[in-house]
Amino acid sequence: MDWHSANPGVVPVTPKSRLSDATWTAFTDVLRFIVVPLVLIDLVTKNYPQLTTAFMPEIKLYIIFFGGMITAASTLEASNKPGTWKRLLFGLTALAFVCMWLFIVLGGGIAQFTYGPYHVRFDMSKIVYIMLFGVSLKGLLVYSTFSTHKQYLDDQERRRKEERAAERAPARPKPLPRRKPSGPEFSTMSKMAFEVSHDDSVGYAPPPPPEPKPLQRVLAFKECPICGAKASPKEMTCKHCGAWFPKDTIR
Amino acid sequence: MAARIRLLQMAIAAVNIAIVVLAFTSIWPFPHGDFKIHLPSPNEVTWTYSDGMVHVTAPFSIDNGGYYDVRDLTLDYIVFNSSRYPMIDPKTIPIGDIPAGQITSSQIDFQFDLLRLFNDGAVGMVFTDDLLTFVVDVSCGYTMDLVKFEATYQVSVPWDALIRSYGPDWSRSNLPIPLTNPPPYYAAYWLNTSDVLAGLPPAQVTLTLIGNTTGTLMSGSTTIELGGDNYGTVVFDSSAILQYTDVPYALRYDLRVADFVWTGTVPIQEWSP
Repeated sequence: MDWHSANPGVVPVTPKSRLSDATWTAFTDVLRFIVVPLVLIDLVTKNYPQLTTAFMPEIKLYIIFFGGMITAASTLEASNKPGTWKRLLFGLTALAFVCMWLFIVLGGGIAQFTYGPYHVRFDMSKIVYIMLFGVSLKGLLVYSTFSTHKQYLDDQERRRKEERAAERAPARPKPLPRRKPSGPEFSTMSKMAFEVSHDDSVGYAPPPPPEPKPLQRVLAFKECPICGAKASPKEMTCKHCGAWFPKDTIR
Repeated sequence: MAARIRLLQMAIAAVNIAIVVLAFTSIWPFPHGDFKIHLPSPNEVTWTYSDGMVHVTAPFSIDNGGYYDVRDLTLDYIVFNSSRYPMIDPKTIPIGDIPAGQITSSQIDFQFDLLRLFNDGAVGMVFTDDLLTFVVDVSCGYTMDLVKFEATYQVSVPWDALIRSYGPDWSRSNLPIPLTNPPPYYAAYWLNTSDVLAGLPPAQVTLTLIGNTTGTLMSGSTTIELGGDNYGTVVFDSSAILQYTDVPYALRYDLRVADFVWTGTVPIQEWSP
């Protein structure tokens, strides 16, 4: 069965589409992991200066760093062919950085809010760990994509090797065309024993005559020994006179 | 294969959506106000006084309007006065679990020994107004203990002095100043006390006229009702003054209000009849 027919919907990525895919990934990841979060953090810190998390003092720096790492890893992932180890490595690396980025953005799950005499502390670290687990599930997808496409690549590679091997193999000598027998050859000679005589013109003794086969006369009709009427060889009695035909004449 | 990837994608998306919903429903009730703690307002606080002890009760309620049960809610509190002196040792009220959508009510209930404070020299809360600060720490688990919530609230409750003011009312008094002033001699005394003391036995007031050289000239006592603004008049034994030629220059007072006993002297020069 053909790989494409076995994997409907999985379209091999061409180098051109990989480049555009990588560019698009870089663009969207910069937006998703750097620009938008920075804007949101800016809004939150300006409107809610009382809100603090563990990483709040330098959170913008962390977002730029981890967002940049995510973008770089994702871009490298997208620029590699699906099914390659590099793509798997960069995909899993990007995922690891996403987990770190999320942990930083959510302040490790601990947020504190101080407003006048009020002080509120949320410890959502367990939920953050569950969220990280949910994000890391994408690792399964990365690996599944890798394994699916790797099979395709392996098939392609095997075919290519076969073709290359076929190209490199020396050309087979063409079988010589049969020559028409121009004279007596050993191969055409009879296996029959022959006797060498002094007479070169004879060469060998003539084969013994074949044993005479008993002649079976097959007649299209037979004659009645009584009345001489003709009848079919299958007939047992003469239709003319009713005499019985001899046994050896009946077929 | 493609079907497998798609299935995996859908499963991951479903898990992630479930996680987002869990996170949202766990956090949202707190900023949105579905989970509320109604702390006591100053006018809800009740004060009672008995045998030197001030008994305070302040009702509060906790409204769990969120999606999940509140687990192991405990409320710790301590009370300070305005000089950050702890009026009580820290106390804990274990509330326990509050099912989703229910309101639980309870009350902060404590007492402090004001008489001991008074006798130790911390007389401020007896004679002057103060501000008691209730520092309340609430901690609980939420969403099957996935979220830990801790909050510290402060409620300031004004404390009215038990004995607001007291002293002689010279305008209602008649004293031997000058000595030629005819008897009867008497002195009016007023006492303004907190309503918390209303109903208790009346205050005992003893006034003594002090002479320049001879010391005690004459004295007398009276009682004054507690709670609000009240007066009492001390009538002196006028015959005693005739034995002296000394001019009284000070008025000593000995007061016993509730369980609080103190004394003091007021110069008579201040008297302007």
